[in-house]
Amino acid sequence: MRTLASYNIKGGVGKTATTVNLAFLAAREGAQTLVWDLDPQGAASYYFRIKPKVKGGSKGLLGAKKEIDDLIKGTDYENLDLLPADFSYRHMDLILDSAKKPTHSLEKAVKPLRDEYDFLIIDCPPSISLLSENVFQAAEALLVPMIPTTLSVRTYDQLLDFLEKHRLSQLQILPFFSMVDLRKRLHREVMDTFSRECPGFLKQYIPNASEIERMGTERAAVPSYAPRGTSAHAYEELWEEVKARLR
Amino acid sequence: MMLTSHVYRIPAAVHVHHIKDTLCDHLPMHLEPASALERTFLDTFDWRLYEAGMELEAFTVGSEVLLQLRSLDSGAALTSLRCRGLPQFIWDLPRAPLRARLEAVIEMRALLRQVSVASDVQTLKWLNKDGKTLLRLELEESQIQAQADRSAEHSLQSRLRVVPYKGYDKPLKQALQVVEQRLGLRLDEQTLMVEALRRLGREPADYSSKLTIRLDPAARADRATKDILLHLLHTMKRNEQGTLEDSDSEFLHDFRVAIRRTRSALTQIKGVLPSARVEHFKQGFAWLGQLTGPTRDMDVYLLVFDEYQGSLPAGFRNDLLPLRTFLQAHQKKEHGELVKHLCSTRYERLLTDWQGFLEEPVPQRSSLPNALRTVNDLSRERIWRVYRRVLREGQAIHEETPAEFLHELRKTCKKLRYLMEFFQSLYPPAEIKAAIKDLKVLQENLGDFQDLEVQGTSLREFSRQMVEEANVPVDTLLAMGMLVENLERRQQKARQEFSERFHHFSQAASQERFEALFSPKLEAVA
Repeated sequence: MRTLASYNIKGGVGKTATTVNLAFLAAREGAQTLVWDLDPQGAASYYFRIKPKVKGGSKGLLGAKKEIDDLIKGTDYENLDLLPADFSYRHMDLILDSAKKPTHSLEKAVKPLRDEYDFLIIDCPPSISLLSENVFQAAEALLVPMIPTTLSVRTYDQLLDFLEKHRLSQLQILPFFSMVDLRKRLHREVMDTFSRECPGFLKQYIPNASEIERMGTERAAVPSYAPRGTSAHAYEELWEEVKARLR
Repeated sequence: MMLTSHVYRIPAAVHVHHIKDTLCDHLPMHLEPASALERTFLDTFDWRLYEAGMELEAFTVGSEVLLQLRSLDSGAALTSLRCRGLPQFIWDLPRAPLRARLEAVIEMRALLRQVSVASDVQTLKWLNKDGKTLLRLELEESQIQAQADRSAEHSLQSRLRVVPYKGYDKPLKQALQVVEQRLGLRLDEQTLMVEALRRLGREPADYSSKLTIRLDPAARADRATKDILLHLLHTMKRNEQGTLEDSDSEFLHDFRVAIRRTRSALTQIKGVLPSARVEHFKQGFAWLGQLTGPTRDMDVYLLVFDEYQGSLPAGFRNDLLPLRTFLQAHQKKEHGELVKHLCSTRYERLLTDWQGFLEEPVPQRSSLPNALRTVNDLSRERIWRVYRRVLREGQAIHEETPAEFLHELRKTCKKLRYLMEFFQSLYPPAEIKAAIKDLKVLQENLGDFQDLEVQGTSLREFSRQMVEEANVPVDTLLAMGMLVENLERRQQKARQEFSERFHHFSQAASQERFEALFSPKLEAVA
């Protein structure tokens, strides 16, 4: 099972849209895919029309296999399941802290699912916390959507520093530009600079499109309601790049 | 994760409307617009997927194809894949879980359309207030689309599929209650594919390249021999079409193996059939064997080409590509020649005469030495004799023995193997399987040894031909030279392994097994 996490300390950069749309594409190709909505806001769950409620809250989540399996819901899409969010996740850090190895609880919780799914994609809350550290431990790659502004660049550097300090360099970072508006000079300049200075950046970017904003009203993945649009195409290309990097 | 669909049969007397109405009356179902589906069941000619417990269904939805792989047992969907057009070979599919799962099963065989079914589907969805689907019910009315004749429609049973969604157990429970208690529907006993095939007069897995003939131990040896040969003739005929069309390489392979077995039977099962006729047909089949050789050779090199490439260091792999082009061109040419011969009157006459001969009843009395013996007796005698020869020839081989002796032993082993396979049904299955397995271990080594030598020789011949035919880059010749070197090394290794392999075959436990099966029994005292 390949574990990816959609992460950025900043909110509103397109983490959930990334999670939902890439998971949709993975499932469409026949891969058994699980999305884990770890954000107490429950946006991913909302897009999948699944109630952000988990029996037993965070405690139920970190229990034994049978329990985690019972909490999973099938989305309307074939091959795609969801572990929904729960409002109690805002206290997740407290629960994680009480474990023997606080940064490994998440990894332990997903172990039993290893043979059931080809991909696990985690939608992370925008924060840096014990939960994030757990995600860094459990994941093999971080999808990091970034709006191309100077501040986001700074945030990116902070992330790299953090990971280095915590000896998490085995974690693959897959940064890409999100909510891109090519009419803005700042966006173009930041993207330009970054492509030159950071070869690790994914080539494909996601545009700031109303098609994507519509996810909230459509409550569906973009390729399902706008399959021939530029946004769907952008996500498809992004997914191809991500897969290539994972090999 | 995919869950099992529950598929229920709708009895012929019941209207699908009635089912739909009852379901809508008792469950909060939302009616979707009706749709028409075309689905084709794919499997190889020898039913590899079916034998592996799977079913591959291709749904045509507009211009795209959705492939669904299912477990035959549980009906649970294993994985799915969208692609453009029906795949002919597994490598036509994009790299995805479905392809990865089937590659080792299907290998080089073509995926054939075994049967196509057209269905009118009415979908009912149980939606919650968020518009989330909690359960899906599909009412299906299906007909077969017979391939040759599109107008002939065969109606199949109507079905109700109950498709659950993970984590929503209550709706599933409620629905099953209505379906089973109120509607009294029962689970589908045969899948749609099997029902459709049977309606066309076929059975799944109705072809296997294995020798599945069942003999009566008390039967006359001559009649039993003719039956074996008829079985082989049948196999040849089944593979004719695929061979002519070159749908995949294995049709010709199975065709050739049937020819080889025929020739072996004619030679090894002595004194049962009139020698003049046997001679005549032996010549005919020798001609056939020769005919099919060149095309099969090209097929084999093309099949092993990827392995050849992989055996070279990365930088040299592309240098080999002109060899593939050469092989493909020659394969086409040889196949063309083969087709001409298979369409000739000589071939037709050979098969007709052969079939006529085999179907002739055996004479009441026969002066042939073995004709009237029981097949049980004769098989035991022949197998034992050849087995002893294998032991003798193998024991005479040591480190310095020239290669021809191993090649001879290989041929003797082949004779033994064929005999054991012809008469397999006469012996206790577990024991004879074990004995064949022992023989296989030895045969593999001898086969490799000879094969590697032939490959080396052929590659050198190809390189000469390629130079004659066109401007072949020097790098290609160098790469081919590297291949030859690898092959020679592997051949030496095979030679070294021989004594261990033969030891395994001739050890006490194995000899006891063969003795128990085939050694001449002492006559019971009357």
